[in-house]
Amino acid sequence: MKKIFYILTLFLFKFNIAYSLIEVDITRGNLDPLPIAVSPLHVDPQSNNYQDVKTKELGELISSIVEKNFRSTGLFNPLNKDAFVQKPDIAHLKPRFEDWRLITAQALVTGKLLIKDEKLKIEFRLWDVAANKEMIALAFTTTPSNWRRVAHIISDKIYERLTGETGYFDTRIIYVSETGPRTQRIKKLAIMDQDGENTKYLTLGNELVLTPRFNPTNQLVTYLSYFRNLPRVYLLDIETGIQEVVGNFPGMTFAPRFSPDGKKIIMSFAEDGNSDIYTMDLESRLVERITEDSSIDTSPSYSPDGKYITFNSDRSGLQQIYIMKSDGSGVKRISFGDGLYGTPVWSPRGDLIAFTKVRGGKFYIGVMRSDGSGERLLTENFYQEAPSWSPNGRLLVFYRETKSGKKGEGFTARLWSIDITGYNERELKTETDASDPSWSSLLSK
Amino acid sequence: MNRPGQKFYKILAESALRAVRICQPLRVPQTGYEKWKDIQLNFNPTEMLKG
Repeated sequence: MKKIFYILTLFLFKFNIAYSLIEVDITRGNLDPLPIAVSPLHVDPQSNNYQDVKTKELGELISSIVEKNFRSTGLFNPLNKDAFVQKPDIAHLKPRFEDWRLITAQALVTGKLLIKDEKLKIEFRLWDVAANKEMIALAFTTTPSNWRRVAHIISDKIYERLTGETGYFDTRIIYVSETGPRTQRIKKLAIMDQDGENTKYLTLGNELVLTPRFNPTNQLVTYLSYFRNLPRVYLLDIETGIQEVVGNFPGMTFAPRFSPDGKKIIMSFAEDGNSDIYTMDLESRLVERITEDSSIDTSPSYSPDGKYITFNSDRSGLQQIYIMKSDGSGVKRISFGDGLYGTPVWSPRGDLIAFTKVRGGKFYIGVMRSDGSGERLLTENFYQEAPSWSPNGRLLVFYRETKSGKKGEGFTARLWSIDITGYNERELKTETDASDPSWSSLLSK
Repeated sequence: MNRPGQKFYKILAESALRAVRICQPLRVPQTGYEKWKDIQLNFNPTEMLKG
Protein backbone atom coordinates (compact mmCIF):
# COMPACT_ATOMS: atom_id res chain seq x y z
CA MET A 1 0.00 0.00 0.00
CA LYS A 2 2.94 2.28 0.47
CA LYS A 3 3.76 3.23 -3.04
CA ILE A 4 0.48 4.89 -3.81
CA PHE A 5 1.67 8.36 -3.14
CA TYR A 6 3.29 8.27 -6.56
CA ILE A 7 1.22 10.19 -9.02
CA LEU A 8 -1.86 8.38 -10.12
CA THR A 9 -2.52 9.41 -13.67
CA LEU A 10 -5.96 8.66 -14.90
CA PHE A 11 -6.19 6.17 -17.66
CA LEU A 12 -8.24 3.02 -18.21
CA PHE A 13 -11.67 4.45 -17.70
CA LYS A 14 -14.58 2.11 -17.15
CA PHE A 15 -17.94 3.79 -17.28
CA ASN A 16 -20.65 2.17 -15.21
CA ILE A 17 -23.86 4.02 -15.68
CA ALA A 18 -25.85 3.18 -12.58
CA TYR A 19 -28.89 5.22 -11.85
CA SER A 20 -28.07 8.72 -13.02
CA LEU A 21 -24.60 8.79 -11.47
CA ILE A 22 -21.63 8.12 -13.68
CA GLU A 23 -18.93 6.10 -11.94
CA VAL A 24 -15.35 5.89 -13.16
CA ASP A 25 -13.04 3.20 -11.79
CA ILE A 26 -9.37 4.13 -11.82
CA THR A 27 -7.53 0.88 -11.34
CA ARG A 28 -4.08 1.66 -12.68
CA GLY A 29 -1.60 4.51 -12.59
CA ASN A 30 1.83 5.72 -13.60
CA LEU A 31 4.61 5.23 -11.09
CA ASP A 32 6.55 8.44 -11.41
CA PRO A 33 8.56 10.25 -8.77
CA LEU A 34 6.69 13.26 -7.36
CA PRO A 35 8.02 16.55 -8.83
CA ILE A 36 8.95 18.74 -5.88
CA ALA A 37 10.40 22.27 -5.83
CA VAL A 38 12.70 22.99 -2.89
CA SER A 39 13.13 26.75 -2.75
CA PRO A 40 16.34 27.98 -1.07
CA LEU A 41 15.56 29.15 2.46
CA HIS A 42 15.50 32.92 2.79
CA VAL A 43 18.31 34.17 5.05
CA ASP A 44 17.19 37.12 7.17
CA PRO A 45 19.62 40.02 6.40
CA GLN A 46 19.82 40.77 10.12
CA SER A 47 21.56 37.43 10.68
CA ASN A 48 24.94 37.45 12.41
CA ASN A 49 27.88 35.22 11.69
CA TYR A 50 28.45 32.30 14.00
CA GLN A 51 31.82 30.56 14.22
CA ASP A 52 32.54 28.88 10.89
CA VAL A 53 28.89 28.62 9.78
CA LYS A 54 28.50 30.27 6.37
CA THR A 55 25.42 32.29 7.27
CA LYS A 56 24.85 33.88 3.85
CA GLU A 57 24.93 30.54 2.04
CA LEU A 58 23.05 28.60 4.71
CA GLY A 59 19.66 28.85 2.97
CA GLU A 60 21.12 27.34 -0.21
CA LEU A 61 23.09 24.69 1.71
CA ILE A 62 20.09 23.47 3.69
CA SER A 63 17.82 23.31 0.67
CA SER A 64 20.41 21.34 -1.30
CA ILE A 65 20.71 18.77 1.52
CA VAL A 66 16.91 18.41 1.53
CA GLU A 67 16.97 18.01 -2.25
CA LYS A 68 19.73 15.41 -2.15
CA ASN A 69 17.84 13.42 0.51
CA PHE A 70 14.69 13.45 -1.61
CA ARG A 71 16.49 12.46 -4.80
CA SER A 72 18.12 9.52 -3.00
CA THR A 73 14.70 8.00 -2.19
CA GLY A 74 13.76 7.51 -5.84
CA LEU A 75 10.25 8.67 -4.85
CA PHE A 76 10.74 12.38 -5.51
CA ASN A 77 12.05 14.39 -8.41
CA PRO A 78 13.50 17.68 -7.11
CA LEU A 79 13.13 20.31 -9.84
CA ASN A 80 15.95 22.46 -11.21
CA LYS A 81 16.23 25.71 -9.25
CA ASP A 82 17.04 27.71 -12.41
CA ALA A 83 13.37 27.43 -13.36
CA PHE A 84 12.11 28.95 -10.09
CA VAL A 85 10.44 32.31 -10.69
CA GLN A 86 9.48 33.41 -7.19
CA LYS A 87 11.94 34.80 -4.64
CA PRO A 88 12.38 32.61 -1.54
CA ASP A 89 11.03 35.17 0.96
CA ILE A 90 7.93 35.97 -1.11
CA ALA A 91 7.22 32.29 -1.89
CA HIS A 92 7.47 31.49 1.81
CA LEU A 93 4.76 34.06 2.65
CA LYS A 94 2.33 33.06 -0.07
CA PRO A 95 3.39 31.13 -3.17
CA ARG A 96 1.96 32.04 -6.56
CA PHE A 97 0.78 28.48 -7.15
CA GLU A 98 0.12 28.97 -10.86
CA ASP A 99 3.80 29.83 -11.39
CA TRP A 100 4.93 26.67 -9.59
CA ARG A 101 2.40 24.58 -11.54
CA LEU A 102 3.91 25.94 -14.76
CA ILE A 103 7.22 24.23 -13.94
CA THR A 104 5.23 21.02 -13.11
CA ALA A 105 5.86 21.19 -9.36
CA GLN A 106 3.28 19.28 -7.32
CA ALA A 107 4.80 20.06 -3.95
CA LEU A 108 6.81 23.10 -2.85
CA VAL A 109 9.09 23.58 0.14
CA THR A 110 9.84 27.13 1.35
CA GLY A 111 11.51 28.47 4.46
CA LYS A 112 13.50 31.18 6.18
CA LEU A 113 16.21 31.37 8.80
CA LEU A 114 17.77 33.84 11.18
CA ILE A 115 20.99 33.54 13.20
CA LYS A 116 20.92 35.87 16.18
CA ASP A 117 22.21 35.69 19.77
CA GLU A 118 24.06 32.47 18.89
CA LYS A 119 20.76 30.76 18.01
CA LEU A 120 19.54 29.49 14.67
CA LYS A 121 15.83 30.10 14.15
CA ILE A 122 14.47 28.28 11.17
CA GLU A 123 10.99 27.69 9.80
CA PHE A 124 9.69 25.89 6.75
CA ARG A 125 6.42 25.16 4.97
CA LEU A 126 5.33 22.42 2.63
CA TRP A 127 2.70 23.39 0.06
CA ASP A 128 0.37 21.26 -2.07
CA VAL A 129 0.71 23.14 -5.37
CA ALA A 130 -2.22 21.40 -7.08
CA ALA A 131 -4.60 22.14 -4.18
CA ASN A 132 -3.28 25.68 -3.46
CA LYS A 133 -2.81 24.93 0.22
CA GLU A 134 -0.29 24.54 3.01
CA MET A 135 0.30 20.95 4.13
CA ILE A 136 2.63 21.48 7.08
CA ALA A 137 4.49 24.34 8.76
CA LEU A 138 7.12 23.94 11.46
CA ALA A 139 9.71 26.07 13.26
CA PHE A 140 12.84 25.11 15.22
CA THR A 141 15.37 26.95 17.35
CA THR A 142 18.76 25.35 17.86
CA THR A 143 22.45 26.07 17.99
CA PRO A 144 23.72 27.16 14.55
CA SER A 145 26.31 24.37 14.35
CA ASN A 146 23.37 21.93 14.19
CA TRP A 147 22.30 23.24 10.76
CA ARG A 148 23.03 19.98 8.95
CA ARG A 149 20.82 17.98 11.31
CA VAL A 150 18.08 20.58 10.92
CA ALA A 151 18.18 19.96 7.15
CA HIS A 152 17.73 16.22 7.78
CA ILE A 153 14.91 16.78 10.30
CA ILE A 154 13.10 19.02 7.77
CA SER A 155 13.55 16.25 5.15
CA ASP A 156 12.07 13.69 7.56
CA LYS A 157 9.02 15.87 8.34
CA ILE A 158 8.27 16.43 4.65
CA TYR A 159 8.85 12.76 3.77
CA GLU A 160 6.47 11.73 6.57
CA ARG A 161 3.80 14.20 5.47
CA LEU A 162 3.95 13.14 1.81
CA THR A 163 4.37 9.36 2.17
CA GLY A 164 2.71 8.55 5.51
CA GLU A 165 5.87 6.67 6.53
CA THR A 166 8.46 7.59 9.15
CA GLY A 167 11.54 9.31 7.74
CA TYR A 168 15.14 8.10 8.01
CA PHE A 169 17.30 11.09 7.12
CA ASP A 170 18.28 12.24 10.62
CA THR A 171 20.27 9.04 11.18
CA ARG A 172 23.84 7.77 11.11
CA ILE A 173 25.51 4.69 9.71
CA ILE A 174 28.35 2.90 11.45
CA TYR A 175 30.61 0.69 9.35
CA VAL A 176 34.05 -0.85 9.06
CA SER A 177 36.39 1.44 7.14
CA GLU A 178 38.95 -0.51 5.10
CA THR A 179 42.27 0.77 3.71
CA GLY A 180 45.49 -0.77 2.42
CA PRO A 181 46.20 -3.74 0.15
CA ARG A 182 43.85 -6.69 0.33
CA THR A 183 46.29 -8.92 2.21
CA GLN A 184 47.05 -6.24 4.82
CA ARG A 185 43.75 -4.46 5.33
CA ILE A 186 43.55 -1.88 8.08
CA LYS A 187 40.04 -1.91 9.51
CA LYS A 188 38.63 0.86 11.69
CA LEU A 189 35.19 1.57 13.04
CA ALA A 190 33.76 4.63 11.29
CA ILE A 191 30.54 6.57 11.70
CA MET A 192 28.92 9.02 9.28
CA ASP A 193 25.61 10.77 8.65
CA GLN A 194 23.37 8.70 6.36
CA ASP A 195 24.23 11.04 3.45
CA GLY A 196 27.97 10.31 3.79
CA GLU A 197 28.93 13.55 5.60
CA ASN A 198 30.66 14.01 8.98
CA THR A 199 32.76 10.84 8.93
CA LYS A 200 34.54 10.08 12.21
CA TYR A 201 36.84 7.17 13.01
CA LEU A 202 36.20 5.50 16.36
CA THR A 203 39.11 3.06 16.55
CA LEU A 204 42.75 3.37 15.51
CA GLY A 205 43.04 0.33 13.27
CA ASN A 206 45.49 -1.63 15.45
CA GLU A 207 43.04 -4.49 15.83
CA LEU A 208 40.66 -6.04 13.34
CA VAL A 209 37.04 -4.94 13.88
CA LEU A 210 33.84 -6.46 12.45
CA THR A 211 30.03 -6.27 12.66
CA PRO A 212 29.33 -3.04 14.58
CA ARG A 213 25.69 -2.61 15.75
CA PHE A 214 23.92 0.30 17.47
CA ASN A 215 21.84 0.11 20.62
CA PRO A 216 18.38 1.76 20.47
CA THR A 217 19.63 5.10 21.84
CA ASN A 218 22.51 5.18 19.29
CA GLN A 219 24.89 5.87 22.17
CA LEU A 220 26.49 2.43 22.44
CA VAL A 221 27.92 0.16 19.79
CA THR A 222 28.63 -3.54 20.11
CA TYR A 223 31.11 -5.12 17.70
CA LEU A 224 33.69 -7.82 17.30
CA SER A 225 37.37 -7.17 17.88
CA TYR A 226 40.38 -9.13 19.08
CA PHE A 227 41.51 -9.45 22.68
CA ARG A 228 44.65 -11.54 23.33
CA ASN A 229 44.31 -12.91 19.78
CA LEU A 230 40.76 -14.15 20.42
CA PRO A 231 37.72 -12.64 18.73
CA ARG A 232 35.58 -11.06 21.43
CA VAL A 233 32.41 -9.03 21.58
CA TYR A 234 33.11 -5.44 22.63
CA LEU A 235 31.01 -2.54 23.80
CA LEU A 236 31.92 1.06 22.90
CA ASP A 237 30.42 4.30 24.17
CA ILE A 238 30.50 6.62 21.14
CA GLU A 239 30.64 9.86 23.14
CA THR A 240 33.23 8.89 25.77
CA GLY A 241 35.22 6.46 23.60
CA ILE A 242 35.32 3.92 26.48
CA GLN A 243 35.55 0.30 25.29
CA GLU A 244 35.07 -2.93 27.21
CA VAL A 245 34.97 -6.66 26.53
CA VAL A 246 31.47 -8.09 27.00
CA GLY A 247 31.31 -10.94 29.50
CA ASN A 248 33.93 -13.39 30.67
CA PHE A 249 33.58 -16.24 28.21
CA PRO A 250 36.30 -18.91 28.04
CA GLY A 251 36.46 -18.78 24.24
CA MET A 252 35.51 -16.68 21.26
CA THR A 253 32.33 -14.60 21.11
CA PHE A 254 31.00 -13.01 17.92
CA ALA A 255 27.95 -11.81 15.93
CA PRO A 256 26.61 -9.44 18.62
CA ARG A 257 23.41 -7.37 18.54
CA PHE A 258 21.41 -5.47 21.14
CA SER A 259 17.95 -6.51 22.27
CA PRO A 260 15.27 -3.98 21.16
CA ASP A 261 15.15 -2.46 24.68
CA GLY A 262 18.95 -2.15 24.70
CA LYS A 263 19.28 -4.05 27.99
CA LYS A 264 20.87 -7.21 26.63
CA ILE A 265 23.44 -8.24 24.08
CA ILE A 266 22.75 -11.38 22.10
CA MET A 267 25.73 -13.13 20.50
CA SER A 268 27.38 -16.42 19.60
CA PHE A 269 29.87 -18.18 21.83
CA ALA A 270 32.04 -20.91 20.30
CA GLU A 271 33.66 -23.74 22.19
CA ASP A 272 35.25 -26.91 20.75
CA GLY A 273 33.94 -26.22 17.25
CA ASN A 274 30.36 -25.82 18.41
CA SER A 275 28.73 -22.42 18.56
CA ASP A 276 25.52 -21.54 20.40
CA ILE A 277 23.54 -18.37 21.08
CA TYR A 278 23.81 -16.57 24.43
CA THR A 279 22.52 -13.35 25.90
CA MET A 280 24.11 -11.14 28.52
CA ASP A 281 22.17 -8.63 30.60
CA LEU A 282 24.25 -5.44 30.57
CA GLU A 283 23.21 -4.38 34.07
CA SER A 284 23.27 -7.63 36.04
CA ARG A 285 25.91 -9.20 33.75
CA LEU A 286 23.83 -12.38 33.91
CA VAL A 287 24.59 -14.74 31.02
CA GLU A 288 21.87 -16.96 29.62
CA ARG A 289 22.28 -19.78 27.12
CA ILE A 290 19.54 -19.69 24.46
CA THR A 291 20.36 -22.57 22.06
CA GLU A 292 21.90 -25.92 22.89
CA ASP A 293 22.65 -27.82 19.74
CA SER A 294 25.70 -29.56 18.34
CA SER A 295 25.48 -27.45 15.16
CA ILE A 296 26.72 -23.93 14.45
CA ASP A 297 24.03 -21.48 15.59
CA THR A 298 24.89 -17.85 14.91
CA SER A 299 23.80 -14.39 13.61
CA PRO A 300 20.96 -13.90 16.11
CA SER A 301 18.57 -10.94 15.68
CA TYR A 302 15.54 -10.07 17.85
CA SER A 303 12.07 -9.25 16.53
CA PRO A 304 11.21 -5.59 17.34
CA ASP A 305 8.87 -6.66 20.18
CA GLY A 306 11.69 -8.75 21.70
CA LYS A 307 9.54 -11.91 21.79
CA TYR A 308 11.32 -13.84 19.03
CA ILE A 309 14.82 -14.37 17.71
CA THR A 310 15.86 -15.24 14.17
CA PHE A 311 19.26 -16.90 13.58
CA ASN A 312 21.04 -19.15 11.13
CA SER A 313 22.07 -22.73 11.82
CA ASP A 314 23.44 -25.72 9.93
CA ARG A 315 21.51 -28.21 12.10
CA SER A 316 19.68 -29.53 9.02
CA GLY A 317 22.98 -30.04 7.16
CA LEU A 318 23.16 -26.76 5.25
CA GLN A 319 23.00 -23.26 6.65
CA GLN A 320 19.36 -22.11 6.90
CA ILE A 321 17.31 -19.48 8.74
CA TYR A 322 15.33 -20.32 11.87
CA ILE A 323 13.13 -18.49 14.34
CA MET A 324 12.48 -19.29 17.99
CA LYS A 325 10.93 -17.69 21.06
CA SER A 326 13.32 -15.44 22.96
CA ASP A 327 13.80 -18.14 25.64
CA GLY A 328 15.05 -20.57 22.98
CA SER A 329 11.88 -22.70 22.78
CA GLY A 330 9.80 -23.40 19.68
CA VAL A 331 12.65 -23.50 17.13
CA LYS A 332 11.28 -23.48 13.60
CA ARG A 333 13.08 -23.48 10.26
CA ILE A 334 11.73 -20.81 7.88
CA SER A 335 14.02 -20.92 4.80
CA PHE A 336 13.59 -23.80 2.38
CA GLY A 337 14.89 -22.56 -0.99
CA ASP A 338 17.98 -23.80 -2.86
CA GLY A 339 21.28 -22.54 -1.54
CA LEU A 340 22.61 -21.26 1.77
CA TYR A 341 20.91 -18.61 3.89
CA GLY A 342 22.64 -16.40 6.44
CA THR A 343 22.77 -13.09 8.34
CA PRO A 344 19.00 -12.88 9.02
CA VAL A 345 17.90 -9.52 10.43
CA TRP A 346 14.41 -8.64 11.57
CA SER A 347 12.80 -5.53 10.09
CA PRO A 348 11.98 -2.73 12.57
CA ARG A 349 8.40 -2.99 11.27
CA GLY A 350 8.35 -6.64 12.35
CA ASP A 351 6.94 -8.06 9.13
CA LEU A 352 10.04 -9.04 7.15
CA ILE A 353 13.37 -10.73 7.71
CA ALA A 354 16.25 -9.69 5.43
CA PHE A 355 19.02 -12.17 4.65
CA THR A 356 22.02 -13.02 2.48
CA LYS A 357 21.61 -16.03 0.21
CA VAL A 358 24.35 -17.89 -1.64
CA ARG A 359 23.34 -19.96 -4.65
CA GLY A 360 25.32 -21.08 -7.68
CA GLY A 361 28.33 -18.96 -6.71
CA LYS A 362 26.25 -15.75 -6.58
CA PHE A 363 25.29 -13.68 -3.55
CA TYR A 364 21.79 -12.32 -3.11
CA ILE A 365 20.22 -9.90 -0.64
CA GLY A 366 16.58 -10.80 -0.09
CA VAL A 367 13.60 -10.56 2.23
CA MET A 368 10.98 -13.04 3.42
CA ARG A 369 8.08 -12.87 5.85
CA SER A 370 8.83 -14.06 9.36
CA ASP A 371 6.92 -17.31 8.66
CA GLY A 372 9.25 -17.95 5.69
CA SER A 373 6.69 -17.17 2.99
CA GLY A 374 7.02 -14.57 0.23
CA GLU A 375 10.77 -14.84 -0.36
CA ARG A 376 11.98 -12.10 -2.71
CA LEU A 377 15.57 -11.68 -3.89
CA LEU A 378 16.25 -7.95 -4.32
CA THR A 379 19.75 -7.91 -5.76
CA GLU A 380 22.31 -10.36 -7.17
CA ASN A 381 26.07 -9.90 -7.33
CA PHE A 382 29.50 -11.50 -7.27
CA TYR A 383 29.90 -10.91 -3.52
CA GLN A 384 27.62 -8.98 -1.17
CA GLU A 385 26.26 -9.53 2.33
CA ALA A 386 25.29 -8.18 5.75
CA PRO A 387 21.99 -6.31 5.19
CA SER A 388 20.93 -3.77 7.82
CA TRP A 389 17.52 -2.03 7.92
CA SER A 390 16.81 1.69 7.73
CA PRO A 391 14.87 2.60 10.89
CA ASN A 392 11.57 2.83 8.97
CA GLY A 393 11.98 -0.65 7.45
CA ARG A 394 11.90 0.71 3.92
CA LEU A 395 15.54 0.30 2.80
CA LEU A 396 18.41 -2.08 3.32
CA VAL A 397 22.06 -1.09 3.43
CA PHE A 398 24.68 -3.82 2.75
CA TYR A 399 28.21 -4.10 1.36
CA ARG A 400 29.49 -5.41 -1.92
CA GLU A 401 32.99 -6.48 -2.92
CA THR A 402 34.39 -6.61 -6.44
CA LYS A 403 36.36 -9.46 -7.95
CA SER A 404 40.11 -8.90 -7.73
CA GLY A 405 43.14 -10.23 -9.56
CA LYS A 406 45.66 -12.72 -8.16
CA LYS A 407 47.54 -10.03 -6.23
CA GLY A 408 44.37 -8.48 -4.89
CA GLU A 409 44.36 -5.71 -7.49
CA GLY A 410 41.05 -4.19 -8.47
CA PHE A 411 39.51 -5.11 -5.14
CA THR A 412 36.94 -2.72 -3.67
CA ALA A 413 34.38 -2.96 -0.87
CA ARG A 414 31.57 -0.39 -0.89
CA LEU A 415 28.24 0.25 0.83
CA TRP A 416 25.03 0.03 -1.19
CA SER A 417 21.38 0.54 -0.39
CA ILE A 418 18.22 -0.80 -1.99
CA ASP A 419 14.50 -0.22 -1.48
CA ILE A 420 12.54 -3.29 -0.31
CA THR A 421 10.60 -3.09 -3.56
CA GLY A 422 13.89 -3.97 -5.32
CA TYR A 423 14.12 -0.52 -6.92
CA ASN A 424 16.54 2.34 -6.37
CA GLU A 425 19.78 0.46 -5.79
CA ARG A 426 22.55 2.98 -5.14
CA GLU A 427 26.07 3.26 -3.79
CA LEU A 428 26.60 5.22 -0.56
CA LYS A 429 29.44 7.68 -0.50
CA THR A 430 32.20 6.72 1.99
CA GLU A 431 35.70 8.20 2.42
CA THR A 432 37.37 4.78 2.23
CA ASP A 433 36.37 1.26 1.27
CA ALA A 434 33.66 0.07 3.63
CA SER A 435 31.92 -3.08 4.92
CA ASP A 436 29.51 -4.28 7.63
CA PRO A 437 27.16 -1.26 7.75
CA SER A 438 24.62 -0.78 10.52
CA TRP A 439 21.91 1.89 10.38
CA SER A 440 21.05 3.85 13.55
CA SER A 441 17.52 4.65 14.66
CA LEU A 442 16.26 8.24 14.26
CA LEU A 443 18.45 10.56 16.32
CA SER A 444 15.54 12.85 17.25
CA LYS A 445 12.64 10.78 18.43
CA MET B 1 -8.78 -1.52 2.13
CA ASN B 2 -8.16 1.99 3.40
CA ARG B 3 -10.99 3.76 5.21
CA PRO B 4 -10.94 7.20 6.82
CA GLY B 5 -8.78 7.01 9.93
CA GLN B 6 -6.48 4.32 8.63
CA LYS B 7 -2.80 5.18 8.41
CA PHE B 8 -2.44 5.75 4.70
CA TYR B 9 -5.97 7.00 3.96
CA LYS B 10 -5.09 10.69 4.01
CA ILE B 11 -1.99 10.17 1.87
CA LEU B 12 -3.92 8.14 -0.71
CA ALA B 13 -6.81 10.58 -0.79
CA GLU B 14 -4.45 13.51 -1.31
CA SER B 15 -2.61 11.63 -4.04
CA ALA B 16 -5.87 10.85 -5.84
CA LEU B 17 -7.04 14.47 -5.59
CA ARG B 18 -3.67 15.64 -6.91
CA ALA B 19 -4.06 13.31 -9.90
CA VAL B 20 -7.53 14.65 -10.67
CA ARG B 21 -6.38 18.27 -10.41
CA ILE B 22 -3.39 17.66 -12.67
CA CYS B 23 -5.65 16.14 -15.31
CA GLN B 24 -7.69 19.32 -15.53
CA PRO B 25 -9.12 20.65 -17.73
CA LEU B 26 -11.07 17.45 -18.49
CA ARG B 27 -12.58 17.14 -21.94
CA VAL B 28 -16.32 16.60 -21.61
CA PRO B 29 -19.19 16.27 -24.11
CA GLN B 30 -20.65 19.60 -25.15
CA THR B 31 -24.18 18.44 -24.53
CA GLY B 32 -26.00 16.57 -21.80
CA TYR B 33 -24.51 18.47 -18.89
CA GLU B 34 -27.30 17.19 -16.63
CA LYS B 35 -26.18 13.61 -17.30
CA TRP B 36 -22.51 14.04 -16.53
CA LYS B 37 -22.44 16.89 -14.04
CA ASP B 38 -21.93 14.42 -11.18
CA ILE B 39 -19.22 11.82 -11.71
CA GLN B 40 -17.98 9.46 -9.03
CA LEU B 41 -14.31 8.47 -9.31
CA ASN B 42 -13.40 5.19 -7.61
CA PHE B 43 -9.67 4.82 -7.03
CA ASN B 44 -8.58 1.24 -6.55
CA PRO B 45 -4.83 0.60 -6.72
CA THR B 46 -5.06 -3.22 -6.33
CA GLU B 47 -4.12 -3.89 -9.93
CA MET B 48 -1.34 -1.35 -9.80
CA LEU B 49 0.37 -3.20 -6.99
CA LYS B 50 0.42 -6.53 -8.76
CA GLY B 51 3.19 -5.36 -11.07
